Amino acid sequence: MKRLIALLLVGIAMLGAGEPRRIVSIDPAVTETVFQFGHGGAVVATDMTSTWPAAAAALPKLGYIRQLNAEGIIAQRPDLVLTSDKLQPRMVIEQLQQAGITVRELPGAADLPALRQRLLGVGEALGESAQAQRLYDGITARIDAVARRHPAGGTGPRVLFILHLMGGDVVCGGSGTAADWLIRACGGRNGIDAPGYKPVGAEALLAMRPDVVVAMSTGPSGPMTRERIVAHHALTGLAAVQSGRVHLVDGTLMLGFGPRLGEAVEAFADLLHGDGAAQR
Amino acid sequence: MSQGLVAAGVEVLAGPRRLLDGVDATVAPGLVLGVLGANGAGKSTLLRCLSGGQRLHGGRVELDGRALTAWSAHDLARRRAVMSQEITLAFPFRAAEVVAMGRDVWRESDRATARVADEMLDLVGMADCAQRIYPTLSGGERQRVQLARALAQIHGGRDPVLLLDEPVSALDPEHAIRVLALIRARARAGAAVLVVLHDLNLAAAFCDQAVFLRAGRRYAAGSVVDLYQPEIIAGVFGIQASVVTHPSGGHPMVIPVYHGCDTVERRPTHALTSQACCA
Amino acid sequence: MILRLPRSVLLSACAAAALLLGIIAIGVGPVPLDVRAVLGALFGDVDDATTAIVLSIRLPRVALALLVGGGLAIAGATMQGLFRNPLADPGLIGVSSGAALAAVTVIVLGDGLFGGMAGRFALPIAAFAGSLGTTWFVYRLARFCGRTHIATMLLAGIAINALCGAVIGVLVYVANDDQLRSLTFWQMGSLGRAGWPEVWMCLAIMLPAMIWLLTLGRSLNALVLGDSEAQYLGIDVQRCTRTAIILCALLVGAGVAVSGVIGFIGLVIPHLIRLLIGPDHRGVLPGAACAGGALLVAADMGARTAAAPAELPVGLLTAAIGAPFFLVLLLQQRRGAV
Repeated sequence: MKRLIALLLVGIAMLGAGEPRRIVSIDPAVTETVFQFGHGGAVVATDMTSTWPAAAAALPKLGYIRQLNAEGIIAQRPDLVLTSDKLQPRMVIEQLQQAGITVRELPGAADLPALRQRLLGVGEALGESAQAQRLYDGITARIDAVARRHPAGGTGPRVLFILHLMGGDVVCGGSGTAADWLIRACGGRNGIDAPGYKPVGAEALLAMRPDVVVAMSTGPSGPMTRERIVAHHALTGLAAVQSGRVHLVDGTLMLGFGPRLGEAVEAFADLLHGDGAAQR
Repeated sequence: MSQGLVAAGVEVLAGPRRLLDGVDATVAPGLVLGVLGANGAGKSTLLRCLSGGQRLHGGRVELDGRALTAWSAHDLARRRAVMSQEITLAFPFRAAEVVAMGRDVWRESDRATARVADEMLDLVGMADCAQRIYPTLSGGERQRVQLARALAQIHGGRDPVLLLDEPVSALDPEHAIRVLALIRARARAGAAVLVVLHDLNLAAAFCDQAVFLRAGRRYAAGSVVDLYQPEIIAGVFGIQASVVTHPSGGHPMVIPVYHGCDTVERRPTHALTSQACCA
Repeated sequence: MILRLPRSVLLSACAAAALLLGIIAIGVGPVPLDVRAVLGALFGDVDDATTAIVLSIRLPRVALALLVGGGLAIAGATMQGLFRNPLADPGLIGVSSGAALAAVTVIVLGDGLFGGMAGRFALPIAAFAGSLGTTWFVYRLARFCGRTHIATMLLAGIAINALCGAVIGVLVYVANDDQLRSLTFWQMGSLGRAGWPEVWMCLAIMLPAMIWLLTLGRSLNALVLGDSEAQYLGIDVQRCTRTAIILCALLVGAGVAVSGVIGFIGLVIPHLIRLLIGPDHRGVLPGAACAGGALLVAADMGARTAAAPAELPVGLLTAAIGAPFFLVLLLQQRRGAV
């Protein structure tokens, strides 16, 4: 026992020596992971969409991940930049490296292999590899448990996942999106077949006959409310809307594909099957 | 000696319409050739053919025995200048700058260009307006600036050819006479001059020869004295007129008969406030 | 009112302004640098971060702003001469959006059409082809019988902008998220992608094109009188027009390929220069080149610092300055003052 503690202390000291002191994190999932590992105190700035946890939201913002300026990042004098391959323009990475900054670029896709590399990559950069592996295993265990309860395919509820209602359009998550993955993981069926986030017309929505309507609680057109959905001309006629099966969800949690994915899947499964089962 | 500018059997089509149909014309050095005819008779089209700005569908135009199409734009520009009708500018060039454009083809110093431009503006009575903005000038003033530009282009050149499309249409009588006298003086100095005119009497006074066009064809051509006959005037312009001789100039004058003008006898009332009257 | 400054005075002033703004722009940014640090980075005895900021971030960006701004302004001045109208502008008459549409098509569909490697060259080539095609189209449409119909020209511009908007809308539908961001970039214009490869490409295309255009000053003056008049004055009108259109298309195409659609520089700058020295193209063309570069450097400085450390698309800034200016021009023209 004593030897174990001694080993642990040495290990912490060794890691501490190489530990980055000033981190810039550009990607919401990456930022969440850094804070999850307890290194939030070292983060000096993030991108605009890194709003979880609250401590990250309060940090200086360097702009949108797709339109960054290398100089704004350099101005924060970071020794480590953690980001994903969503970063644009790509030239920024080269410019940061020329300025002598270590850049760690992780996959940004919304699937489990990318999540694993994301978590392990951040863990490795922060000297938290073991914790990263534990976190990933925990997430997959929770996802598997949900999948056992609600197997994919067949008879699950048909879900309409609304991203936002900008300009009167109902923009929904189609195949290949994080929303689609989440619906499948919870044993639901996505109402939209088309790839990507697409505006869907009123008639197509009626023909789809969704059992449940889910919408992000915040979006580019301001906070979403249940009233806005019920009043929307293309949604008001849906049976799911009339019977009150409309749910508002936190987009950063549900679509973030970060360390809280396990929690997200459990919560989403509750939404799909909780009241649905009761009413059936 | 230059052979001048010769058009032979010129034809121009616009769709199914024949704008010119086998027209001959010779612009000879030392003479002023007038082109006259009713509206739409093809006067401007003929001028464009002679200037090289119009594609021919038949016939040929030659300068010094060489087809116009064989001349480069640059060489041609050093021999002949053209003044078209109604030139508007969307940019605020000054009158002197517009005239100076005529000198571009000579590739001379800015100072030499400015000197020629001033001289030409003086000739057309626009010296005081050299610094005015072209788009703000009146129609008659613009016409004189354009004439100065054409004169500047052939100034100092060998065997010049001058083609003018209604150069006095917007000018008051004083300036019209001054400009046509200037043009005639150029011809006497060796230039070959073609001028499209509407005023039969001005044409008779200042042209040596004339071509009468009717509906795209040459109706008559020859010396002014030969052409000015009541039958020919009636045939070309469709008006009845008597032809008399100008009391001091000796050239023919056309006095039209005005139909539809009321014939009540008009006497001077002596009530007008005209200075000339009182003097 | 036209001031008619001597040409040499104005040209020196514009060139000096471009140079001075360029130097200031290298010193301004989210990271505060003093003169000593900038000089140190240029002549190599400071830390990596400073060197990187000056040499690989600010310098290429300023260089690109000078080139693209100058190129757009001189192209605008040339088009105004060709169209015989002071309202012609690459953005307004649809040339920029034609170029952007071609480039965007390559981005979205290019992988399928050309494969990865060809894409790098396909982009500027497509932008050039797009700008050449639209310039030619608008030119043919707006000019018949040697006259320019301003209404036709502006309507053609509206139609082309709308058409490009529609096709880009279709592309938005089939595009994935990454491509979507690129589309926005093309439509708003930004110099945020300026690296040395872009600078060298622009330098190789735009500098010769600009120098060539400068030699066409006299011919453009003559063309203002009308096609036939220019011919009578000894200009080879067809060759001159064709050359000018191709050179303009090259300038706009190269500019759009590296920076997206940056509007109104080609409209505002030539007009300002004309107010200062008069309409003679021998002065307007070089003056516009210098002043256009200076304006875009200044606008980009604003784009980098207004919302620092994030940045604004510079095309929004130029449009915010240029659009009201355009309205004033239109009103003036209605009163017959232009």
